[in-house]
Amino acid sequence: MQTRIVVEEVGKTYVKPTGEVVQALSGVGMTLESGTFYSFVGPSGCGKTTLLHMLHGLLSPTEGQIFFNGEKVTGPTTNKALVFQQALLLPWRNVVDNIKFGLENDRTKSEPERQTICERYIQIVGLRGFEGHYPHELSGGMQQRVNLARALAVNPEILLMDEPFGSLDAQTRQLMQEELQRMVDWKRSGKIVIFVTHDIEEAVFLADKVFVFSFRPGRIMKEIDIPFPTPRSLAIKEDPTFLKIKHEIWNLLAGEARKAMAE
Amino acid sequence: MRGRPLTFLAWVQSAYGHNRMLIHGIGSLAFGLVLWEAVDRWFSDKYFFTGPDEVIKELLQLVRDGEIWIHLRYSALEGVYGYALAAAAGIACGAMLAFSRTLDEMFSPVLIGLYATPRPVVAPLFIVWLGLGVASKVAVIFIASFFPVAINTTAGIKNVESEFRMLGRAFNVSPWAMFVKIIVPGALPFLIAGLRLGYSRAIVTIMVAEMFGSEAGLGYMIVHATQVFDIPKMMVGISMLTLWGILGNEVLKLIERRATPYKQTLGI
Amino acid sequence: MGAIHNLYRNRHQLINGTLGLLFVMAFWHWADRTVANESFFVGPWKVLQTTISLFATGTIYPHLRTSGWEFLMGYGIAAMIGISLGMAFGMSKLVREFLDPWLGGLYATPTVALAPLIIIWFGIELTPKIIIVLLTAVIDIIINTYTGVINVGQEFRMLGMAFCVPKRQIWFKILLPGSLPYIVTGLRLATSRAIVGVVVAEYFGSSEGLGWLLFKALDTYNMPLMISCATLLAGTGIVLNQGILAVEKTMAPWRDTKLQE
Ligand SMILES: Nc1ncnc2c1ncn2[C@@H]1O[C@H](COP(=O)(O)OP(=O)(O)OP(=O)(O)O)[C@@H](O)[C@H]1O
Ligand SMILES: [Mg+2]
Repeated sequence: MQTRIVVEEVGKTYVKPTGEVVQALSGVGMTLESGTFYSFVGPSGCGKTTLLHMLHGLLSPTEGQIFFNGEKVTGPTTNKALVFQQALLLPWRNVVDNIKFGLENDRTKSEPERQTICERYIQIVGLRGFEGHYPHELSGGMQQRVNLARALAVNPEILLMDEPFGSLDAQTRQLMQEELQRMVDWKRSGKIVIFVTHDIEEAVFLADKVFVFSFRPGRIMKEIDIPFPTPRSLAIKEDPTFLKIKHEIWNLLAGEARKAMAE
Repeated sequence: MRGRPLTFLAWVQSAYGHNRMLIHGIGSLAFGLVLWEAVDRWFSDKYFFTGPDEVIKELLQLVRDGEIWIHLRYSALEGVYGYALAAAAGIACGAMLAFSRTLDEMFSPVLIGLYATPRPVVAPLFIVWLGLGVASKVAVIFIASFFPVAINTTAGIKNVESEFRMLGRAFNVSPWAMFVKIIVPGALPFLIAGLRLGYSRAIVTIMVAEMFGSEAGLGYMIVHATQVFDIPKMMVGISMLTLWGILGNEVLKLIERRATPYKQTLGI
Repeated sequence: MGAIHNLYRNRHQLINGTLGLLFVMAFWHWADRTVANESFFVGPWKVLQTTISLFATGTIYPHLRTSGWEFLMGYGIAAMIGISLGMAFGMSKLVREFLDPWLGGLYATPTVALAPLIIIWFGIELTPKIIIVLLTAVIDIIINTYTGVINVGQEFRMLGMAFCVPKRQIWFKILLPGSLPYIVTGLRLATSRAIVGVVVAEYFGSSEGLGWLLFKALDTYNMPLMISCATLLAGTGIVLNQGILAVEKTMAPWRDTKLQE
């Protein structure tokens, strides 16, 4: 089960209703292999969300093409799942039913099976006891965990995550980083995981490969392979090699951030 | 990055996007008029249905003999007084309730209860009390329009207050600045929604109140034309009221867009 | 602590609300005493007596039946048409662009003014009255449903797309529940409009019904009956509104109901 995504010279230009043109991405090329965890880091507004949505098929590129196992990506499919940057929970569904949202479209599973899967992920993201709560009764971090569980529950071949830990507290975040490796287990299951984050340490800790993006229009500035074996423990964050990589990315991004602020 | 010139295609697209709505709008209106005329031809019975041409003829006739002005003036007088009083009183009372918790708790249930009632049905009472003249209708229109304005004003102010009170405190905003910078702009969309709702109620009430008894006015004209089966005249009255409705609504929409450009508005 | 505070707050609200109602009643009573002319003004007590006797003698029932039937049919059809049209408006750009000028016009039109025409076209049976009620009620429902669908927001539609929800299910899973609060508002606004529709329809051709009774009271200068009818009509509006609210509360527990009304 060898899956592969090929991104060829992809660019995206938005035309606003006012006629104003924004070039979000340009000339992005990459090959994503199964069983690998990729992190995207880059300045705010450089088109990470845009690229993720294009990989998923929600948006189509204005330049270039994206192929999944040799076939052009034209729309969302059930083998991909997206963790949105905003939690986007349906206010009229409680926690269980929100998590079930994606699963419901999987015809191969019966309702009791879906229920079991939901319960497992509720356990995993630590929301036991909140099954019947509605989104407005949850904290921001809890909502984000429901968002994560909703995507994981689908058990997709390709998992796209847009700053999934963005609104978690620092401690939970660390725990979730460790937990994510166990939950997804991409090496064994052969998944492709793409993880967008602003936290460089998090990006390096989780990824087999980090893509560093430039300021708008976003391009790949550098691809960095992370040599540590997986699964990793939090202790490697003190490792000299780890720190060296972290600083390298930091220096790359600092210049870009300055450009962004100057605009 | 923003300096990139508009591509020709994008320009055509956006121009088409704008004109598309206009084209569809005009097309749909024209379609309606043609349909109206076609149904008229099909019925070909003057006492049953009237096409746009006959209505315009009738209107010109009424303008020529001056009758229409009497009705227009009469109804306008009722509408303007009733609505203006309702708007002023509604905003004032609504604000009072929003700023005083006790008053709010005392009178909001009554207001909300009365808001749920078909208010024009009090018209006969006022006709007995104030006579067949303008005064009784002004009172009924006032009652019809007052409630939506008042209730929306209260809701608007309470809404921004609860949402942004903390923000104001956090930035040490003075009460006056709080009022001018936060409460007024925050409550404005609700207030205007109330004014629009009140306006549509006022127009309906002109018709209903005059129906119960009047000396003149568009509603009166419609009712009398009905009694003698003068369909073209009825249609003139209906068209006039409709025109008022549409014009007033457009003016309020314009004010709404000016006052709250950040709000997403629908066509209505 | 929070619970105690809530209890206190609720008690406060209840007491003040009752006080407000009593205040209004006292004012009414005082006005009645001052006027002291029964053919011109009657107090709350007399209205209650009149209403009770209307029920006790049974004279009110045929009127209630007639008006109630007109209302139920007109309002029910208005609800069905209004919700479907509002949904169509919200979802189809073509429908929206083609019909929007008419919707805007209809919103601003006092549809009750069409009542005499409709009576002329369809006679004085039940049908024209149902049509009049329908026309007066349907606009609020269309417009609110439409606003609701628009407000459900692009991002929730995107969520549906992302998880490959079939088109038809997007309707039931996202658009309908998402616009429910607005639909309920539309249904509530429409109740009082529909009651006005009933009254107007009965004016132009009827021999029965609450609206007709109201006219008869005006014609015969029967002040107690007039106020009694108006109160019954108003009361119906209040009861229906509260009923719809109650149904919504049980049907939609997810709603943060703090800011309702
Ligand atoms: N629908 C849209 N219309 C116009 N411009 C858009 C649209 N969506 C995004 N953009 C623009 O495209 C650029 C990239 O947006 P995107 O959301 O992909 O950035 P991002 O890298 O995810 O940023 P962040 O890290 O802050 O989430 C931004 O400059 C944004 O203004
Ligand atoms: Mg983003």
